[in-house]
Amino acid sequence: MTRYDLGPVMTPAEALIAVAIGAVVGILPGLFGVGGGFLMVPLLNVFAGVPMHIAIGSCACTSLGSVTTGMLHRRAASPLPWRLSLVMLPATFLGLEAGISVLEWTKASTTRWTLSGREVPLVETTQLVCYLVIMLVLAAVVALETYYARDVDEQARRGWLESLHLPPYVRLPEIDGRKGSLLVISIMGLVVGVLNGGFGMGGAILLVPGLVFLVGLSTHRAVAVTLVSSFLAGFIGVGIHAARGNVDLVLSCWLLLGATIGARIGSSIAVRLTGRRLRRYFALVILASTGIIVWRLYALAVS
Amino acid sequence: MSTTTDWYYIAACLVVPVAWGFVVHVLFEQFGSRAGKARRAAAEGSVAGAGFEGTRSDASDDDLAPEYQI
Repeated sequence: MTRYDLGPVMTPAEALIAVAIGAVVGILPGLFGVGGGFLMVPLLNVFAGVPMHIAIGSCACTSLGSVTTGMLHRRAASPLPWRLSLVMLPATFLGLEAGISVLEWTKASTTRWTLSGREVPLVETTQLVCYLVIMLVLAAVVALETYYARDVDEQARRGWLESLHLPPYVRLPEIDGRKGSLLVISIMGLVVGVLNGGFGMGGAILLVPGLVFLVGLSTHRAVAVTLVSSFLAGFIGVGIHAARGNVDLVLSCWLLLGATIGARIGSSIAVRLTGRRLRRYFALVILASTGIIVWRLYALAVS
Repeated sequence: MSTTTDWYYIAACLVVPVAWGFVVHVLFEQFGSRAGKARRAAAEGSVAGAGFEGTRSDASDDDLAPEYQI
């Protein structure tokens, strides 16, 4: 029904590729603490030939499993901060709807455009360019974080954009009863929704620094809020994706298997690396992802 | 949403990853806790957590857990 054209079941080779991609991407959470949706979707599209919308829906489904594990683990240590995530939820839902609606439109589109005298698919090219832009934003966030983390303590950096004073305000226990800008919180929820729905990403890499800098949360709480927000966004997003036929559950199961294996490998490797070296390797992962996307764009242009 | 099968499929897409996440969490807690604690104590940090390590006065070792997957 909702599975794309793989036949009745995936072949062993296709399953093996899915497990391998899941494992490669699954190493990232154990190693760097990020979900890896930004890498999984391009890998599925480029190396497994999975259509973009199926890759995005299946990746969102896979991420839901990873986020559930992370959230349960966090819950075992301390109560989960639901309120801020629930305040964010209406905007997240709007973002999800917007992201998935654009994706729906791209599914139907067969428009092609001319590049250097060759016809290339407009939608796939645009999606890959969007991923390229996201990679550059991620690289900028990591570079800024690394730069500012060198000699400024966290307390001084927390909430440095709170002074923008954008009403209306909301008082929440997560920010120690201080008033936070509902507008800023909603915008972050919107971004998470769009990334989740339109790109199959959890959005943690942007949400954690956003909550620290814009709302003034401690890192510990920002991570917990991000887990809850990603879970809620993922749960709703996967429901919508599944309803619109974007989720291949069999593919997601193989990816989950690979991701679980990869997470254990990643956490084992992480023990042997320092934080500085971890960030350097993460920059290389972003660079490699960018390279894959550029290579794909080049292949589209010359094919 | 035309058929009951669609609803079953949507439910499966939601239940399967959540159940998988739950099972993995339980397995990690049961069989990986001792090794995991040693790793957490030894590990320095994560990127999403994010260039913050070394300055995280309020962070617990929980931030560094291998299960910390977003």
